[in-house]
Amino acid sequence: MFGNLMKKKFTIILVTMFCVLSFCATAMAESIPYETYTYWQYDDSKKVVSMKSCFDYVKTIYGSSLGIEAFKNPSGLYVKNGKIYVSDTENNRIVEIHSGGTLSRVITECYSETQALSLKEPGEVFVTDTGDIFICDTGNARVIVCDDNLQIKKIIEKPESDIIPEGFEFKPISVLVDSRGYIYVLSDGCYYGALLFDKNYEFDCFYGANDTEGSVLDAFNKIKDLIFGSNEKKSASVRTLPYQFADFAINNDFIYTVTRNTKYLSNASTGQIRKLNSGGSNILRSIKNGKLVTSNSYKFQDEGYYTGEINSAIIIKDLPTDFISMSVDSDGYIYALDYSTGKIFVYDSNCNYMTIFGGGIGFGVQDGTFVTPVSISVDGEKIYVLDQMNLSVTVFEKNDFGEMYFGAQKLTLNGEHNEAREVWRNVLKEDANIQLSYTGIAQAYYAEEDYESACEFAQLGNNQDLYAKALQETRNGQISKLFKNLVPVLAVLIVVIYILYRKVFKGKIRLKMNKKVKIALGSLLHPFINFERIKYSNEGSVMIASVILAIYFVSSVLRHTCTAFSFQVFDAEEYSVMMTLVSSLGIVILWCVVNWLICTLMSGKGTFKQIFIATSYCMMPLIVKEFLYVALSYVLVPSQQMVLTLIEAFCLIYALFMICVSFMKIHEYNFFQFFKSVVVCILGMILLVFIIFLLLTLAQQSYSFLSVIFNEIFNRR
Amino acid sequence: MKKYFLLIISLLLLGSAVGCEQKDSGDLNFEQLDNHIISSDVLAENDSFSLYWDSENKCVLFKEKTTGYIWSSVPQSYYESGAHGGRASVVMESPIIIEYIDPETGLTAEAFAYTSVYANGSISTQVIEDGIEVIYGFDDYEISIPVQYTLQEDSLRVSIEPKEITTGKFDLYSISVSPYMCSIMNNASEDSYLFVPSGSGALIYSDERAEGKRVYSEEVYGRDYSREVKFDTTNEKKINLPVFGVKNDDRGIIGVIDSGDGQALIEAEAGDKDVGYSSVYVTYFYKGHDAVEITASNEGKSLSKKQADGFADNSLMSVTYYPLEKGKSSYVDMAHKYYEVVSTDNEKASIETVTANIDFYGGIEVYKNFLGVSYDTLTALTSFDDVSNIIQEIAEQTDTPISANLVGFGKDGVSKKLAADGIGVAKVYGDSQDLQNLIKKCQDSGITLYRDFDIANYSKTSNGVSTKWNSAKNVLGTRAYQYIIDPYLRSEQDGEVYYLVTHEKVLSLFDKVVSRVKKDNISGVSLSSFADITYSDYTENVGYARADIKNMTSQILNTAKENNLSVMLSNANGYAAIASDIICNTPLSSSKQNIFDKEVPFYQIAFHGCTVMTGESLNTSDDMQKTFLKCMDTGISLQFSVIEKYTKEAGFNTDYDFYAMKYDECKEDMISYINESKEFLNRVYDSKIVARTEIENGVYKTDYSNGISIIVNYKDTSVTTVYGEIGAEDYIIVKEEGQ
Repeated sequence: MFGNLMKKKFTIILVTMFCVLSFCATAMAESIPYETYTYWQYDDSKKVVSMKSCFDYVKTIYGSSLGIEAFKNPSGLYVKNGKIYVSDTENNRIVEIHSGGTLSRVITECYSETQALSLKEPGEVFVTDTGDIFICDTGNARVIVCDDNLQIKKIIEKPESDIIPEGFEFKPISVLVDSRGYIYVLSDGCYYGALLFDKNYEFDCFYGANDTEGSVLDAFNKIKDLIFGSNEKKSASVRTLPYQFADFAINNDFIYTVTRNTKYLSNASTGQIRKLNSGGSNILRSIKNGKLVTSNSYKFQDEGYYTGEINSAIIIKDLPTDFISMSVDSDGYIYALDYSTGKIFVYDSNCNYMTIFGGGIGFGVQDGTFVTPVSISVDGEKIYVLDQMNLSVTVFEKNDFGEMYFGAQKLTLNGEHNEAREVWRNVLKEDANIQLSYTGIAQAYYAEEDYESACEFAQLGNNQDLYAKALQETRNGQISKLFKNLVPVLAVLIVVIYILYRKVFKGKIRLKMNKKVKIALGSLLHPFINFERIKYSNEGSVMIASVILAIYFVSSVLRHTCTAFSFQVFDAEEYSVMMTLVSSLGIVILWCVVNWLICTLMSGKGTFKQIFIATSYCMMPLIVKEFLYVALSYVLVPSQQMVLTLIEAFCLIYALFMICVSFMKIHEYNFFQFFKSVVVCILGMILLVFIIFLLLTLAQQSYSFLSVIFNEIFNRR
Repeated sequence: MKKYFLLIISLLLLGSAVGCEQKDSGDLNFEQLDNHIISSDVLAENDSFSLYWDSENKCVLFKEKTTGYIWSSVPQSYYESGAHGGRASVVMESPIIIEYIDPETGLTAEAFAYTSVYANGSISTQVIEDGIEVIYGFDDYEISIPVQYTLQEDSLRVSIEPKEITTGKFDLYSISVSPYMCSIMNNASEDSYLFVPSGSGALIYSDERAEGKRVYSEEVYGRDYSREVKFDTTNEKKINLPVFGVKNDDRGIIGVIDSGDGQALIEAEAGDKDVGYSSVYVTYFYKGHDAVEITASNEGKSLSKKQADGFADNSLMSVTYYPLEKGKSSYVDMAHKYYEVVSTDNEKASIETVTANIDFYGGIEVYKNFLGVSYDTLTALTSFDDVSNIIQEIAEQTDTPISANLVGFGKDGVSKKLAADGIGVAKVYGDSQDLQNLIKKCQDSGITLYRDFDIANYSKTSNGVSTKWNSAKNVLGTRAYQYIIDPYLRSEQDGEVYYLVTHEKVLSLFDKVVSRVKKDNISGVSLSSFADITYSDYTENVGYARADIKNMTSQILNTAKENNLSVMLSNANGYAAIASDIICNTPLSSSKQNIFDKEVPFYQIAFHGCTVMTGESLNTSDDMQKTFLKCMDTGISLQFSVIEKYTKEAGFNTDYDFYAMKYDECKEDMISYINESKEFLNRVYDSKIVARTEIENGVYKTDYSNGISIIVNYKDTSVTTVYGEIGAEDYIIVKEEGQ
């Protein structure tokens, strides 16, 4: 207990020291010449914000700066305890570099008792805590295990096993070893996952293969081909294979894998990063709508696509974030290297974006940018990136702000909220754009049972879940207060009103209401009678129907814009009133038009006017639903969502019931005829929407065609 | 109906046919030259220099009489080394290298004088006053270029009159002039280097590296904003000053691009083993140009280079080389020489000290919503009252001269919607009385108050500047669209565009600005964007019009002076910096290209003591202490950026670092840094920097002409020097006796 307390205090002192010293003892490192940013995440949305840089560019190491021949097509990088291992593939060597950037040694061969084995096109290296070096000797299809003096202990070659498929080519490109001595080998072109060897170097199994993705349509096609397909077609059918890992890393015996998302080869746009347990299952979790869910559906990438250029002549568009390599530090922060842009994405263990920096997009001529980044490795506070085209290793180091920020999040993730709060305050002082700092402070207040402050900061950090939890706690107190004070006051008020009504006005107050308004409102409670009067006595009003539709539209807008924060984060910039217009009034109008067209053919007796009036009147329960939802969102908390769902369901069913009654009356249908007409109407609506889209697309294409002709003529002047 | 249809089709076909024509017939004026080479002789001379023509090697020699040292487009040591032949001869013995546009592909290719003129072309020479004109005929490409070499009082001028260039089948794209005039042998000592003015300035060593040669190329004054840019992969500091140079042990030479700087590139090549020399030189674009998408497919788009038609107003391409005094050839001496050259007509009487400048950011436009309808509305981040209170607090606690600049206090906040920010002030910041109170408070406290106007960019018609009629045109003759590049994805994302005010309209717009500032009784005007960006305007078919910007700037500064207004410019280009009262946001670093070996504060050294300068904003920099040290190192004032109220919407704004500007969060640092620096800055503000030496890696000593020196330790460990121990990331000030 005392030990834990001391540890906590030590952490606080350390982090506080960073805060205090942030302006007086920064490392001698250059600031980086590109944007550093992160994302705010909320309500399934991501919003990009600038932020202070967390990592400084330190230096670039070239072969020439080490006094040796330049690197040639280097492909792998591994760093441990300050020692950098560059797999200089085409030079058939591993270059070992001291942390200061000076040459330690060049490894071109390893030694057995009888002979020296030369390396051929080596892949990545791994060094165990005991100092054993595992070298992927890719060109020789083997993994060499040797000690620090390069004396060979074991050579791992293609295993003999029934599990290994026929024709399998063993091309080890990366290797990891866990604390139990289990060896994970990544073989180029292997879709079955990593090859797992036990501590006796015996092949065990394939480990952690990616899942294949398939849609219902794929399954349907497959079944169809199986049943009806010819033999030629069956043999020519493409097998869906899982994407192979691009790279993997290890932390606390958990294996982290990364899968590429290139424009042309694969399209793994979600779940690119995984954390595998010993069974090979993904246990990396991200927070979605306040709940921890597996990272399989999480988009580890920028919101948008990049544009690149080749030789100043060809523009490549729509390049996605494409992680080619990854590393994990001792605190569990995940560092992923984007091949498309040369950016480094850093995530915490809950997949929150910590920071994104770097760049170059294939033109990295500036310090800290890249042309062809292929490998990343993290060692302590330093990040190392290998640039294959620039033939260099770039070193970044976490700066004081980065220390403070990452330290604060670590405290929060460890549940040390109180200790984290002051650090977060200091983070905010330097950078008010850090969403995690608002959440961290809110969590600290929540843990301290200061729910109002928790609500305030949760709202500042757009954290609905935490806000709702804190709000619920606040409400518990408020409701008991409410019952204590408000209920007696309300009771007295009701009695006073009743007495006034009965004694003073003697029950003579009567609302004078227009007959048509009465019919409209009455249709809500007595649909049979009132829709009959609309049909036969012509007592419906187009104006009232229009007003109801307008109110329906307004209520829909209010639902989107005025719902309480705990249920919805409203973004004025993103919100489109046109969408609401289409989804409310648009559908009603479409329904009226199609219903009129269809029912004319199906012996319906209703006129367009009657259809419009009836449909509009039927929207009244939905208006009630929207207003109630907005009002109750301020009273209830998300855990009481069920109440809102029930109200919504009731109103919707009632509206459907009204539609049923009204259209049976108006068209003089029985229920079966009504049902038939509705089905046909829905199909008609789909068809009409399709035609509208077709026309719009045609118009757009025509416009593009004409503009291309115009530009061609104009630009060729 | 059918007739009209046929008529339209005929017109379209006619247009296409005309469009397919490769070149304007007016350009087809190339005539092959008669080879005529005069014999070697002295062409001109004065007390210090003489100019020779070497007919054997077909190059001009520029000789220092006192020492006998020769500068030439072909380095003398190259001839003496006897290492001729191969690529070295092709590159080094070419006093001119051109790029032409292949009419078939639309792409550019290089041609060297050595192969395309001497071997397969023609050359003609004629003596002119104080020099020689050499016409290089690239016959294979039907291009001839007359270059004049003339001896000046203390320099050699190399110039090309664009009107005299003749072209035929091929279009000329660019001309590199005397590429090895400023050169050093590879693997020269560390005391020899190439200087390029990227950002604050940078040095390139000539060592040959295993990775191969290093190449540098940047446009003077940054990119031409009239060109269409939909993506931008880098975040570079531009070249602000049209100068470059080389130091070769105790000798040095600088090249000052005195004309045609708006269409120039500064290029350098270092460590080329095949050539054996490293050099820095100027390349001129012949005409305005842009890349045009000519084909489209799903996978990519081809680009072609399009040049502007006609160049009636094209300015002379001229670079003047100034040899430096022997033993005084460092980048500090280059900076002094540069200032001496450019300041001849603009000498200032005196300057006033300012310890710090504070940019106050007014407001941003945020989306609001009424019944689902989103609309923009201006929200104040700082009001006039806030500025008053902050200024008062800082003035009371620092007691030193400062200046304040109101940025984004117009009708559109910091957005680029309205030309000159709508000129008037928006009411969300306070009423006119509040503004007058602020002005009075500034006057009482001795604070110079500026108001910033963006007179270059806009996206909505306002104040008589129409988006249709008053926006600058690009090389294609269409409106020069400025796409908003997403700073994170580095490409245009949402299709939003803004425009550039035509050169013609800028002056009248500035007149309105002056009237408003005078009316409000504000003491100075700040033009943050105008001196920072330069752009062509092909509205009147004037050809490459970026050169106009110099004249416009001169007129603008004169107008301000006539109205007794101080002028503040931000990150100003050389032509503007020389005449401004205060230059803010001067670059503290280079563009950090990996070819650079060292960054140097050339910009600050050149103008120090002549103009008040501030560095980059401390509180928004990645490392506040380091930015502070850089300001102290070069004796320039501090810069801060401040808002009173931070909102989430401000945080989401991608154009400004509002997240680090909240006054309450940074005021302690601001006051502390101002107090720490005020004594030193107030003593050196009007002194020249006479020397700057690197005592050891990361420790620099800067000497001022008044005898004060500062030694700055950028390292994270303390160091011991002969001047005493200096703490990590700290400095000491050393004064001569009597100071």
